[in-house]
Amino acid sequence: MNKKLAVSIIIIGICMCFFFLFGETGSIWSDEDSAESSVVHPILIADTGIFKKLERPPVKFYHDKHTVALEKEGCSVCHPQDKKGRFIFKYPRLRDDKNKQSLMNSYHDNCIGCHRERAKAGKKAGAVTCGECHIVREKYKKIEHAPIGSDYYLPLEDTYHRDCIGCHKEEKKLTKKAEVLNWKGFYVKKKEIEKATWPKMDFDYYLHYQHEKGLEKDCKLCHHIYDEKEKKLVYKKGTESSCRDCHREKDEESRRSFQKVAHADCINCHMERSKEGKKTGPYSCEGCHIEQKQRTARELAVVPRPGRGQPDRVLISIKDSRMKEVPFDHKGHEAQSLTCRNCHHEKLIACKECHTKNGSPEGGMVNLAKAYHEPLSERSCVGCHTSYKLKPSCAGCHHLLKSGVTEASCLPCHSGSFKEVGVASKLGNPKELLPANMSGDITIKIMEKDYMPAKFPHLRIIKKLTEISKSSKLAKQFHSDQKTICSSCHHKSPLGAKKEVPLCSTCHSLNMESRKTDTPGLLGAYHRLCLGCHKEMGIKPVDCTGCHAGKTGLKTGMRKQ
Amino acid sequence: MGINRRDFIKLLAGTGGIALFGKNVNVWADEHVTSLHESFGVIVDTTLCVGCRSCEKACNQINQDLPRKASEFYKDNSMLEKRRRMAADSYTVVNRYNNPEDTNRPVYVKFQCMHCTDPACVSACIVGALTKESNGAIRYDPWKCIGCRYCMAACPFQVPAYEYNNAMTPQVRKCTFCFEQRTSKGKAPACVQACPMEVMTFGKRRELIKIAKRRIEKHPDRYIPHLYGEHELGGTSWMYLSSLPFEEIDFPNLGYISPPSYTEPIQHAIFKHFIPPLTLFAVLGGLMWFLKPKVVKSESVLEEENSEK
Repeated sequence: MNKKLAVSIIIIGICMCFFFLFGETGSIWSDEDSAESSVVHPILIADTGIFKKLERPPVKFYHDKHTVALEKEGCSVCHPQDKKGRFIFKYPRLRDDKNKQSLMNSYHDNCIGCHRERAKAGKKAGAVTCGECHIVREKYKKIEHAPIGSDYYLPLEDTYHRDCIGCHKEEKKLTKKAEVLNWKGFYVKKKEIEKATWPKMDFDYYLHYQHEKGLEKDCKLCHHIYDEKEKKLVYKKGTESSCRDCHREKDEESRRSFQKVAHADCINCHMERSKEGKKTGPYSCEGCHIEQKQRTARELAVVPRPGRGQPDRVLISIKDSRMKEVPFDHKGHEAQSLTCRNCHHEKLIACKECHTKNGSPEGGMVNLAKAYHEPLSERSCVGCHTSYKLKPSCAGCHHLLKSGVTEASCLPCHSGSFKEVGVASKLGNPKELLPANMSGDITIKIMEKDYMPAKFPHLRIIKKLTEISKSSKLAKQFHSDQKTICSSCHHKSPLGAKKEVPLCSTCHSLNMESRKTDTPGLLGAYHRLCLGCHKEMGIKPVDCTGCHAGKTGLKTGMRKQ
Repeated sequence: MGINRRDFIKLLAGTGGIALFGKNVNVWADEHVTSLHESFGVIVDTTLCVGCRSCEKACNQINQDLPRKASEFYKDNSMLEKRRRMAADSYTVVNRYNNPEDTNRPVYVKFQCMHCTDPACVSACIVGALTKESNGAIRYDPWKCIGCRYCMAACPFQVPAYEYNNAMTPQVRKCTFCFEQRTSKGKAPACVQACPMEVMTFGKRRELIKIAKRRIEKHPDRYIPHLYGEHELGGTSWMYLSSLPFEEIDFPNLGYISPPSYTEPIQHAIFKHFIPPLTLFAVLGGLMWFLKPKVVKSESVLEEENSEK
């Protein structure tokens, strides 16, 4: 009897040991894990480049927790230093990435070694067993492969499930009844490893200005170029550009990647300045990578412009061009962007330097005309202006209009001189647009049989559109005259103030029979125009009775032909 | 002999079918191409639909033999929460689908009989209760129908519904293309007429294909470049334009070949003018006669027979 008891105790003991050693208990970090929703981002240590397939889940490493715990000891506990005493942000300090085994050992020796030492010394320490660090479980992304028409799909009647239902007839210990089974759950699932996504750090005009101010306009502290002859980094005024110009996404020859440079230079500089007791920026992870609301162009407009000798305004003229010059307000456009890179790529030089007239390899074979006019690019003039048309206040009319370059859109830019730029809106009094004998409201009663007549506030709409056009700088420039306001609804009509235009029913007939062209009938034309605009602009009503009240008590029927 | 009776019949039937199969396919195609062009059709532009269900209402009103529904029924949009399908009391339904690109703007899709150019239901009907009219409509004659519901099994879109709750005079129910009331007179169906957004365009199928292609060309950002029904299952009278892939709005990828063009050549070949079966039986009979064992009754047997008497 005693022997049996002893054996069972030993077995339970061994199980417990295994559980604590290898089980994915995560006891130490579990509290922090639950508080993860409040922006604490881990670094996922996986090194899949060397390890390839992972035997255990990647390690969730909370960097900021370590910075706080090791504040006294400093960064040198984990990170190596160069000759000047600047930190090189790689880990572990004695990293040995000859092969899988050596890299794994260097991680384990550094992490666990330190944790053990600290625990011995009676300090707060981290995990020492496997399961405590390797606790990131692979998250599964569900992809259902339910049959077509899955909402009215009846799994119990599917002959494929005949064999399943054979056993799942009754509720037993391990089998559930067929009716309560989650049939959809049996269709294939795809797993996906969790990724840690850090909020992006945007170095916008505001931060640039803060640095300018703090560093007393000493540009050479950050900006440099590589001198091929002397083989060293030198600063040359007027050559400043984005860091990304040289430091690309990945390491190239002697150039480090942008990620490495940004971390090494920013953090080292911030730390040095803080040691000297000067005002400085953050050097913890969350100091920069926080989920803050991105500053809008409007907020940035009050920040003093970064000065790099750029012009306030420039007359863009191309040699041998057949079009007139374009007066370009550089200063005004700066106030509409977050960084210089929004237009200039990484190099801060004029467009025509790379985008030549016929295209060159430096400009990605995009010729100059395309660089300015490509409607799908975010950087081109036309592309950026087109993206503004997607704003709710603009999309109401512009979703109906042809996007990109049209015949009418040449002259507002290619005016040849600065004379006409920046003048007040050419839109006048909305009342002047209506013919003299026309009232402000129009009653439409083509659906009289089912609905009460709809009141169409013609004048109010003209007023609103004029107001919107006057409030936007871009619209002021392009809505060149009063007819523009009319043209989104009265398309293909001869327009003019105080002039009667053809009725909608002239082209859009009420007759709905067999069609040979794609011109919608009157009913469709009205509803598509009104509802389309209301939906795009987010205006109510978008339901039937919002415009025309339903007739009650009457037998409703089809529309009269 | 290494061949037994069963194998022999299989072989004979197989070779007979194959011999007549290839030729018949071409005849099939020619016959149906002409009717395909002259018929009427409808394009449904799902990007325009706002889900007001006016089409359902108009359908209920024009088909007097359907159970009447109050107009409040068509104002209650809570039924859009569930995916519905055509039923014995509704020839057309509007369903709502999530738009993965913009969750605020769901996609509404109207369903009804597609009025296939080469309909599987007509081919499957054994009494000729379903007929394809020259204007594109597939008509149903309840006086001929025997209620076998082969049409329901044959339909690739699961359109026909059956009045299971009607014990005495059940009918198969499906969209009539408003044949009696409207399309036979060249008028657009009631649902097309009622739609406030003109989601549907009625016209000659030939013209509609041109219109639809022009629309896709004009708005490449709005549509996926595919007109569902132009070629699907040999072409359908109702065709669909969509901004989402058709699989996502419950339009299965069914291939371009109509079901009858698979099944009918085989069926017709086997029974053409009743010659193959007659030939088969003639050959079999001949063989039986030829191979009949010639029993020469031995004397002992004769003696036994005599003694029995």
